[in-house]
Amino acid sequence: MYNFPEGLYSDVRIEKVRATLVQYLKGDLREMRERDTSGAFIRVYDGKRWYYSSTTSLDKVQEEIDRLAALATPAGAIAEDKVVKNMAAEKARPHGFTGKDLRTVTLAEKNGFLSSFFPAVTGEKTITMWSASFSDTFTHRELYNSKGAQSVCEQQFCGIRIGMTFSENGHTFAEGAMKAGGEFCELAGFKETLDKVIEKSLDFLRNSKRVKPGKYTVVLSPLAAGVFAHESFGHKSEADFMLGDAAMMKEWNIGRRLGPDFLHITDDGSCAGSGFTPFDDEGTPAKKTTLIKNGKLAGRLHSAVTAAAMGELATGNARAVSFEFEPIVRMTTTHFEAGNMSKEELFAGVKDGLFIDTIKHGSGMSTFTIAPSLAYFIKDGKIAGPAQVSVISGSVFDTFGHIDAISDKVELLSFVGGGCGKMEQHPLPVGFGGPYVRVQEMSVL
Amino acid sequence: MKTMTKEKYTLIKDEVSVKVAASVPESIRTKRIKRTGVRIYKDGCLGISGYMGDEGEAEATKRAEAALAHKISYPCEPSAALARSVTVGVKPFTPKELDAEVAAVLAAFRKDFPQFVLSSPFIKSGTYTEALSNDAGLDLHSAITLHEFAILFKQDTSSSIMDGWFECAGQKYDRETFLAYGSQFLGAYLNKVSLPAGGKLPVFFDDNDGLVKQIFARELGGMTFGSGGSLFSGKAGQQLFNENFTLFGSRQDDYLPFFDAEGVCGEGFKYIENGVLRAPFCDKKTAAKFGFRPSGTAAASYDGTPEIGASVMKIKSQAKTIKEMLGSQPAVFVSMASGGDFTSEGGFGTPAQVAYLLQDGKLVGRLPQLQLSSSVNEMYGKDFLGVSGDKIMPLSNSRWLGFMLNVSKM
Repeated sequence: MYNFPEGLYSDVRIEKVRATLVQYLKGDLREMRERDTSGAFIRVYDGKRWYYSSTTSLDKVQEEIDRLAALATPAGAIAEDKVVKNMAAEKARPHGFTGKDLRTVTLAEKNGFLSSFFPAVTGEKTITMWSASFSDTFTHRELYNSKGAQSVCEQQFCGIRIGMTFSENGHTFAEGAMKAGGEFCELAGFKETLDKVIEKSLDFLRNSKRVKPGKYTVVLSPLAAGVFAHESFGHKSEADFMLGDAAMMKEWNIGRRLGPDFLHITDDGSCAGSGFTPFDDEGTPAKKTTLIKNGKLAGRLHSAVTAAAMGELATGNARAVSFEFEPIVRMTTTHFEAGNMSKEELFAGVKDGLFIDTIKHGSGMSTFTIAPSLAYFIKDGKIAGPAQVSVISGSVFDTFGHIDAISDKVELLSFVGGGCGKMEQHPLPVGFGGPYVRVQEMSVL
Repeated sequence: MKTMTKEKYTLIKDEVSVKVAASVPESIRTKRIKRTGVRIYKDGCLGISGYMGDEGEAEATKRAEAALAHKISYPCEPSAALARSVTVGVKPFTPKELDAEVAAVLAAFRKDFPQFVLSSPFIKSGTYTEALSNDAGLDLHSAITLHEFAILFKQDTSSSIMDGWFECAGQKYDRETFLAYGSQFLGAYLNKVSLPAGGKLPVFFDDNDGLVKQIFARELGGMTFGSGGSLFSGKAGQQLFNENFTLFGSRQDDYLPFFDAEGVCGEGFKYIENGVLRAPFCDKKTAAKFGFRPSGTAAASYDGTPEIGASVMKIKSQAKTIKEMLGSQPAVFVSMASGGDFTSEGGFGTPAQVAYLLQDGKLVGRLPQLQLSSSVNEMYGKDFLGVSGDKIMPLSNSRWLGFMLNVSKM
């Protein structure tokens, strides 16, 4: 297919995407488009340095390979390089999606489906501003490398989102309802989701009270727990942050205890949903990676490059947000596994705390943060009215030790219209969710 | 309106970047991406399509004409009869030049600060071109060359992903200036200091930091504002904030083209003037719906309908320098505050993961991790300290933005 230069490792990733967007702002149609894009990302490696190029000219990929090769210094034994040894070498069986091809659903059908939910919004007079969108993507990826690997992978995903601003008596509150899946038919049931969000939002608008800043016992919903796992731990398990860093390697030594015995966290690219990554952008197939098992550090996320540097195996987590970028170590679907008690028992153990139901955003570094949207006071084990919270935060190193309960059922969630950001690559679709998680001594503002 | 107007919106990114890991350059990336949108205005509606690369205009035009059938309303005149071309910045680095420059910068920092491990997701140099033209006589062209040097650092004994960062982004680059700026951060980081007593302290941010301005990006959107869903709805003309607080639009300060995605030039558009709420930010369609003025902040993907965008809010600076603003009083400079937010009622809270003690206009030591809190009314009211006349970094456009905030150790 391509003439890969001698003495260098090279690969080419071709990406072709069909994306649909139907978008309304307060009932006024703003977008209705089908976009076809294509591009290529080319990598050349000489054993010391990587040389990258992204281009929209698919007919000039060979020129780009040759141009990058001219910048590199060929090495005689490139095949023996640890990184190159970790790269895929097989011709993989093409991976297709299951279910009805989203490209065969007409724009009119997608638009009609979205519009069918408008009466539920326009019928509520406190909703002063709203937006609605349907989006889907069908992605065809091809990967070729100088070791002879070839893979073709096709994926699709769709979702619906309605964002609403509620206003009454000088108070405002914004919240959204969303449903996403791999097939159009998976969006059925959105009306129930929307009605529930409207009901909760009205209660919040009318009855919420500002929380007094301090330390609280906090119960995280599956959504909030998913963000917590992603931000507090997931990013730190990405091995590119550890390369050449002895202190980090020591801190994140496999086997180190981080939390209680019932604490387990995994990342799994084979989970259906927005984090589904059957092959990563280096051609490594998806696998389930246990990051924490029985409260102890058990693994980390790798690309072929980081795995080679640390003497471990690639985990299928080398992902790029699009053909414009190089693959870097990213999460797929990261979540807490089921824990040690029922949801009811978990709540019953809270005398005076907070329940974080939905969130606006989260971030994670040495300190992780979650900005809650719908949050509630808990008094004597019961929900006791909506609470306005700016942000909850904690030290990544300390917080796992403060987890004292995890519920026994896992709920995985998918999303459209956002994703994970790392460095310059945003938004990358990821999945998360999990059980309910109870954390002591969390800082609340 | 003329029967039909055809418009082209072209975005070209021509960029080289170097990624740094473990204090050495790891990779070099070149990028040339061209995207073009074709817009057809007809009978109060807008049809759009686009293509990538150099070829595809004829097909995109056909698709845009067909897209008129979707009846996306655009009850405004497309911009017309204006020709202007602005080129700013000197030529970008070539891949070899940038690679050599990054290597030299890293060598200097490694020599002076061997205690730190340095990395960078990108050190970039590139030319970003935007053009908007139509057959109603509009012909706008902008080419901006920008250099962005961002360095993340961590102490070699630290088990964090990163301990802090510094950057310069601007149309000029000078190695010695960047090294001096970075050395101030690295030197201050090594000097652990205590939080001054007081509870409520002067706290400064980079005025380009979106965190403390996001309340205005959220609440001053024309649709939300006009629909009554904003905290500030119905309050235009009222003195809501400190009389020294003026919030305006400046694409130039944000290194953006002088025109927005609709061809509106809105440099200097005032949202809040001397504490008085003046206007929300709007695209043409929203402005027409509510009787506002377009603010020159419409944004659009290359093949998308222009919509309200809010990325260019600046706060008017004062004549005083940071040193004159503070005198001998110590203050906090927040270098990294990730994850904070305003509540729906305007309450503000954020952790500050990296903060420095600011004394006599210089960073002199690293403070512990902090919690900051206030509310929009207090921050931009009685507790507003203003924006300095001098820059934080000579090669960038950022200045010191200060408030009195509740500060506590995390």
